[in-house]
Formats: sequence, structure tokens, C-alpha cells
Amino acid sequence: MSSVSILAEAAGLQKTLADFPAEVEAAVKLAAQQRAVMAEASLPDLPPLAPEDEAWPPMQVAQAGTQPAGTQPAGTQYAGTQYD
Amino acid sequence: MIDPVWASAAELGDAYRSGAASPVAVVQALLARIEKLEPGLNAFIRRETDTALLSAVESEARWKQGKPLSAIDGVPYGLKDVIDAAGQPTTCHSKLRLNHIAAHDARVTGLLRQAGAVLMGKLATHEFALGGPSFDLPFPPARNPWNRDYHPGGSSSGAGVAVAAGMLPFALGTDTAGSIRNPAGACGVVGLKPTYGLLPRDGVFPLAPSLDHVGPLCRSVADAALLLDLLSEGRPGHRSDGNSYRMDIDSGLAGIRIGVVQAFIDLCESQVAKALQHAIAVLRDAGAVIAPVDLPDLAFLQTVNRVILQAEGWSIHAGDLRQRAGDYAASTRKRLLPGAFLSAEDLLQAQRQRRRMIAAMQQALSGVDILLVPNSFDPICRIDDEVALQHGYARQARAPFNLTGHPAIALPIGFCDQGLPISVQLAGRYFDEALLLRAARGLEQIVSWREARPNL
Repeated sequence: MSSVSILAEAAGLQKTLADFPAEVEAAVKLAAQQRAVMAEASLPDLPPLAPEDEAWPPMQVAQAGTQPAGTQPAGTQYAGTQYD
Repeated sequence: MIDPVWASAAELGDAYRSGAASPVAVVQALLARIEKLEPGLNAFIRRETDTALLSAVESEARWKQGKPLSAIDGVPYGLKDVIDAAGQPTTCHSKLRLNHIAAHDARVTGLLRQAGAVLMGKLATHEFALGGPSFDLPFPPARNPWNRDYHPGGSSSGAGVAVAAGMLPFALGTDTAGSIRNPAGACGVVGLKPTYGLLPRDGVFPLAPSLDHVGPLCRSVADAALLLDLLSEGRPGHRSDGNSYRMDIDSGLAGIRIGVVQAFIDLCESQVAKALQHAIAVLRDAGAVIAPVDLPDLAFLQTVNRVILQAEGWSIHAGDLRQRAGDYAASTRKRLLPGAFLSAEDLLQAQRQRRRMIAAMQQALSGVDILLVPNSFDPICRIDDEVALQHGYARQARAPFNLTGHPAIALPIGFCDQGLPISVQLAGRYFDEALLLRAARGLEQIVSWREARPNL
């Protein structure tokens, strides 16, 4: 069993591998290339993420001002399919 | 007399107020324009002829009563087809979503509805706001109005095309790695990606939630400010002084400190580089203070952005990619599948790197007010040139601002030899869209290409 097959099976992509083997293989390679690029750039002094650091854009928003939870313009209903 | 085909949203509102134009006449003129150009440019996935006319009639009555709902009451617009409008399909330009009907308006749609704007239809996108111009989908890809053989940019391709072709004064798009600014640049219109989180995304189909933004594509910087006023009011991060984003835009360029990222310009094709250097000279002559600025390596910024995008995108599409991968366009599948092979470690390392990139961007913006960078490094390529499309995918400076969340705006600064638009990108500090729009407006007034029209 090839490494691509093992990885595809682990990701639940057996059917996709059967239908699009070249694309799955290319995806495995690209993911590995990107991992290598980040590994080369990682600095030993780069600290782990702390909760107060992680969600920086929402933190920025929160610091800039707040809006009462659930505030919505009158007359509109929202699907809630996103993440605000 | 105002030309309804080429008027901006603000100009249409002013014309309604003065009685120089009426919503019904404008909507009818644009419907006729759309009928003439479609299919062909393929900007629209779905048109809303009857409901648009009905909305225009209602708007006209409000203007006659002197009770418009807003400055854009009766102004036509379109939505990239990843944004919900109640009762209408949101296909994401995909076979997988052909039967989806939105139960509610997206919040941005609701705000425009409340403002009385007239929804003219849903607009073409790259599938799920990702893939590329694909010919293996239920709807054809949009075409560049300056030359139909060329790519209009993406993924908000229909939005860029419709505005540039005189079919709509404005449209809303989304931007996860540059998808508002790319079509804005390729089609020669203005595209604004506001600060992350400033505009609501409820009811917008996500691509990568920590990178996704909503924003307008329009004909002028003033329209971008007008729409930002309307869509961001009451949002966290909205102008803290409570003033309009339009208030300062005509204050000129004098004294604004603009940091030029020369390392990015050095990567540009010669025509693009020349246009950018001209824009820099114009800004300097107008009183802006130009200074060199460094940013981290662009390829690395893009890699970090891509890892996060792929990981988050996989989390949304994993089920369908396992069961019905053949229903995606090949280009979408290729861009989503790497996410299956990224680990939790990869994502967290990317997030740590992201923090470094944010610090670097903040540092760059500590000594200047605005950054000037290219939009695309090359003139837009032919729509059927797979090699050029793939080559150009990373030859842009848009994704860094999705990674860091800073606001960025694209606006036209000229044309290449093939007659296709060239664009510049300005970026600003978090939530300082007021200054960003002022700088963009100042540049727009000097190097205005707004009067240029595609020959259609």
C-alpha cells in the first residue's frame, strides 16, 4: 500500500483516490511542500499561541467596541450560516 | 441628464432626490443593458427582472413622497452567489448547491433591502469562491468586458464584470485571498476589502472563516465609502467618532505618509511596474510623503495564508469531497484537497506564523499611514490559458491582507498594451478605512480611469 493510499484512507478519501488518483497524489505533495516551507521559517523563539493571542482579528474588533449580543437591524432575519 | 448605465450609486441617489432620474427608469435601462449583454459576459447566474421592477416601483413612490429609505433607495445592485437572498438559490456556482434555496437574507442583503436598494440578481463566482474560471460547471465562467477572451479575475468575477460593463453600479463580493480586489483590478473598478470583521458575514457561504471578508465592488471610491457607511453601521469597529466614511475623502493627499513596498513592485511585469511607479510619482506630486517599507517574504505570507485556507476549507467540504468529489470543478477540487493532508500541527504552526506576520504588518504601518503595493503582478491573462492562470495564482499581493486582516482597496491606474486594466492596491491600519478611502479618493481623482468604458 503506497503512502498516498494510506494518507487518503486516513482522510476518508478512498473513493476520491479511486476516481482522481493524480489529484490526490498532487494534494499530498502540495501539503508536504507547504509544511516544509513553514518548518524552514519557524523560529525557536516563536512562542506557542496563547488564548489571548490566537483570535487576533476578533480580539481587535472586541477592543474597538462592542455591540450587544444578538443586536440585529429591525426587520431582518439572519440565516446564521456564518460565524459572527 | 444622468446616464443610468454609467452613473455611480451616489450619483443615482442624488438624481432620484433631484428628480433627474427615477428608479423605475434606471432599473429598466439596466435590465435592457443586461438583456443586451447576457449571455455573453456571463456575469449573472440568475436575474430578478420582475422583483427588481416591483422594488423600483415601490422605491419611486417613496422618493415621490419624500421618504426614501436611504441615499441608495432604488439603486440597483447584485450579489455574488455565495451571499443569501431570502427565497432565492445560493448556488455558489456549483452543481452541489443547485437545489439550495436561502431561507433568509444574509445580513448584508438585509441591510441593503432595508435601504431600499434593488436586487437585480445573483452573480457568477469561481465555485465556492475558490476554484478558477471553470468550464465544467452548470454555469459558464464570466468574461472580461474589456476583452471577452480574457479572464475577469475572481472569485467575485460576476461582480467585477457587471460593474465594469455598465450592468450594475455596484455589487457585493467576498474576499478570502483577494477575491474582491482581483476582479476589481482585472475589470477596472474599485474593490474594497474592509478590516476583518467590520462587515457582517451571516448568511454568506464560508470558504475559510478566519480569512473571509465581505465588501463592495463599485465605480468610485466615494461609492465604496457610501456602502461602507451603510453596511458597517453599528458594527464593532465602525468609525469610533460616529462620522460618515465619506466625510473626509475629499481632504486630499497632502501629508499622508505612504509606504511603498518596492520588493513587491520589483516582482511585477514591466507595464504593471511602470503604472505603479507613475502612481507613486502622482501621489508624491500631490503632497503625499513617500517612504520605503519592508514586509515579510511574499511567498511565505502566501503559504501561511494557503495552509489556513486549505485547512478551514477542508473542514467545510470534507464530506462532499469524500462522497461526491466528481461534482466539483477540477480546479476547485485541486485547491481544496490539500487540506485533507494538513495536520492540526500544520494549522497551529500557520496560526503562530500568522501572528508574526501581523506584527510585521503592524510594524510597517507604524511609520506610515498607508501601504502601496501591487494588486496583480501581471496583466490579466486569457481565460483559457491554464498555464498562465496557474502561474498568476500566486503572483499577487492581496492574500497578505487577508492573513493579517488589514483593510485594502484596489483601484484602476491605467491599461496595458492589450487594453486591459492595471490596478494598484492601498492598505491601511485596522479600522482606519476613513484614511484609506481618503488616500484612494485622492489618487482616483488624479489618475481617474473611471471615464474609460469597455467597447461592448
